[in-house]
Amino acid sequence: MTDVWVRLEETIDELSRVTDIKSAAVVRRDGLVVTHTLPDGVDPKMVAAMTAAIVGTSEMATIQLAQGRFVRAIIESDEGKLLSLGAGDEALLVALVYDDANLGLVLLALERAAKQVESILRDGAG
Amino acid sequence: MLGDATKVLQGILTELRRMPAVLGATIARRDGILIAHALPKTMDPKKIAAMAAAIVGTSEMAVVEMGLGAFNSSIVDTHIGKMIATGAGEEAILVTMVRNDANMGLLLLSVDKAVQSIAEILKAAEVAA
Amino acid sequence: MMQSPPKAMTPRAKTGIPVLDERLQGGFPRPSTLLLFSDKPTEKRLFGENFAIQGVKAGETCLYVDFFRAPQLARGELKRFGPADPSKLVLVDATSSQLLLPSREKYHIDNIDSLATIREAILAAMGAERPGRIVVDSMEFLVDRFPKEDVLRLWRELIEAARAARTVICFLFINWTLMERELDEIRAMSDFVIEFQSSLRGGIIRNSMRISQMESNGIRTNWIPYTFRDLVGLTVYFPRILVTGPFNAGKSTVVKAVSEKSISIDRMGTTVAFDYGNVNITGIEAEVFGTPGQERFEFIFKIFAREVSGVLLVVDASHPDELVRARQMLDLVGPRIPYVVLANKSDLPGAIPPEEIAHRMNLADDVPVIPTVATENKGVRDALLILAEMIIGVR
Repeated sequence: MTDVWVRLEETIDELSRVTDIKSAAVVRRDGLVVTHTLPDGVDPKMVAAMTAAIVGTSEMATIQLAQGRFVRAIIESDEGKLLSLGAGDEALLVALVYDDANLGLVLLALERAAKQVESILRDGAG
Repeated sequence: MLGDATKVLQGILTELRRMPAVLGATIARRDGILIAHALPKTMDPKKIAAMAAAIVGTSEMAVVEMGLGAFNSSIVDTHIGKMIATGAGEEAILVTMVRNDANMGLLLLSVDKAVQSIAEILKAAEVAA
Repeated sequence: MMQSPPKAMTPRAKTGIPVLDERLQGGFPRPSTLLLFSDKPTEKRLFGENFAIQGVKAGETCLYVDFFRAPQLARGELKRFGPADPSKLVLVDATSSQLLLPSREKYHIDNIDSLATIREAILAAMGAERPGRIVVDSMEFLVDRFPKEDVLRLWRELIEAARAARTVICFLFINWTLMERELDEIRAMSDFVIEFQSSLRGGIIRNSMRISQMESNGIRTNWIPYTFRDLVGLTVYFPRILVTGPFNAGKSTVVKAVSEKSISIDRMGTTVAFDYGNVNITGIEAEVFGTPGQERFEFIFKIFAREVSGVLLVVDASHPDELVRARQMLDLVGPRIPYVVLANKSDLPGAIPPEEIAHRMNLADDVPVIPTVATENKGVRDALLILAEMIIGVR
């Protein structure tokens, strides 16, 4: 079981090393932290709960709007962006990026990481 | 007084909806209550108002927690289009649904203009009330 | 022969987890035989270690028989439980001889292939040190190496010796090979059986334990989720306590009152997403989530009303017309989840008493209704402790 956690930790560490990505976290869809590289001074439990609220609500809004499939949520602010997306049935991925980020590359890295997280969790459960 | 304001707000939304890629628009109070909408009949404006309020409220808290400065907007990407939610003054939120082929530059300009107008109208209505 | 432990000891051996100790009427009685059991690898060693260190902290001498770790390693790991007088922690060293190293411990097993040698070392340590608690980590080490009957004979002998000395002895055991009949025999030899299980969901490991007293009408708890905190030890841990109820009942205030630290996402006087806080009181840790009360935000339940340990249902005692709505919200959480009703704002004129609220809500007799004044932090903590006891299965 700890193997799952170690692999998830590696995925997040790798993601956080991508240029433009400041930090990242894997959180459960019901708002609990799984693993993260968030800086000290940021409460990972709060980030987990907020990410779950944002993605969960966005997914339901997507259904309401009959807008097809939810892909990701982007929160834009003066000094950066918060990107969050699904990583399988159980988990979500959230990343903090610098304001001048090359979003295209970042999104690719996120999608790859999300798929990795999904398969790690699937393997672990099997 | 507020009745007039609602008419003007409705006008702003109808104007927005005239843009080619805009599928619908809604103005909600920050506590999730619907103010006005220009949505197709298939969408439930009250639900969208509440959900947008939850998303914006949470996003504003999130950017504070993560030290990212002031919140600008939240964008929900779907494989058909986007839902953009942004504050419109202290008390309201503007939610705009657009197709993925939208000209984002033009769109954001229109959204900004709309947001400013909405904020002014609501402020005036509040003062008058 | 062997003398009893020094009289200065408390009559019962605390676990150090207040909710549990209360249920055990102060702790495990002296003497007792505890069996810490699982059939898969789990964290039961933590309970054994926690138990030993709690004893040391209480001034008792504790004997720890460790078949797996070198004494330096064991002592190092035991430091995680917080400061404790190392001279009161007596180890029986079973590994130095295997590594062909001289032992620095007073008691050591020089021939790990001889059950007789093992027996001698443990009994000698018990006799000389007169410990208040003994932990044997772990019995499957012996079951793997020696004939079952011989191991069971030694097992019984150690229990007898501990009983004669009025000590609490704790055997860790993970079962790989024994049959059910033999397991029953071992359970029957024990006063308390503590089972452990671990589950993995969405990348998060949940550990829980269940305590059963072997006598009829004895204590039986539910599965109790726990976690480990550095320098503190084991604590009961509830991953999610949901605080819900009608609009304006005082949910956000309750979350704030009960938490060490909390946030609330609210606009124009109402919660638009959720409240969140963490609780850390008397050996209980919990994450508390408050839902909005307005109907338009019911979709939030789909996100947060999962893996809910228990519910604090907050109602405004001065607005009894909303009690029906309160009951509806409980349905949003799901059936069979323990809950406590908080009759909040009970200081306001027009507040109806708890019995009346219970009656109007048609509550079963065993549902606690606690009067609270959340703005003054009155009654909120009590309500949470009562909920904790219900979740653990002590009410």
